[in-house]
Amino acid sequence: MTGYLWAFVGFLGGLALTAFADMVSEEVRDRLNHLPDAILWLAALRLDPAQRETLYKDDWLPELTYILKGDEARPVTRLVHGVGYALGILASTRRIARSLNRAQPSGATHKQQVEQRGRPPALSWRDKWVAWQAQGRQLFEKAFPQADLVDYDGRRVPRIGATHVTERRTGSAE
Amino acid sequence: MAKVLKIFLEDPGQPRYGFELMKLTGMTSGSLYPMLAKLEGAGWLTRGKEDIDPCAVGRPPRMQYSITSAAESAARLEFAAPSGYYRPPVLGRLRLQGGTA
Repeated sequence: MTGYLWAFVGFLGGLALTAFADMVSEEVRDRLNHLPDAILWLAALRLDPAQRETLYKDDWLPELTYILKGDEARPVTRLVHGVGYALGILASTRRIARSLNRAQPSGATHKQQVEQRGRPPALSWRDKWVAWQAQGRQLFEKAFPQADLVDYDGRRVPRIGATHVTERRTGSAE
Repeated sequence: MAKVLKIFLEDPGQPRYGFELMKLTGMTSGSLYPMLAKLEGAGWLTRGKEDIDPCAVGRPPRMQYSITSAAESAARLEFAAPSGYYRPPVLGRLRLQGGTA
């Protein structure tokens, strides 16, 4: 009798362990899907607000969305391509911004532009620490969003970049 | 930069996307995008949004790059210059060793 009981408990334990492993796998997969998006957003933080609009929103983010949702988007392939794309952008953000700044019609050099704008006020270490904390918190929320699944064609899919598309589509369906 | 321009010159009327250029040239985004920014800044490339319906496709329109007509001819001239430099001399002007001509 005791043997049957242990077998039953073992069976239940096995089921629970399988379900837990599946949940962990799904959780990790979902978090990894957001990794390229978070890296790209970090790159966007290094841009001026005006450039953030033209480069990040109009150029990089749609391209990343295409990479992550394109026809060749197998799970590992899209992660490798997406992270590679975002890391490359992150590494060269300043160079891209500089190249576009140089092409401004004013013809002013970067040093002259800084002088025209005026130097930013010097921050104390305490202010810098607060700013870093805020940026870190934003990055964390970007990488680990609370509501990261959206309705799309009757399915629950991860929210990747083009949220406005799914929202508009849901709105038009209603 | 020659690799990128060569892709544009293969079909000048065809707009190219960033990821497509990465695949065709084998370059990383960290090398390609600063180059595209430089070329755009120099007026060699123009940018425009892809003409799609985002609702139908399910993603926002991508940015596409096209080469300008002025840049096309300038690039062709630039590519032609090295080939002229490495072209072998005309045979009629050569003289064989021990010849009398």
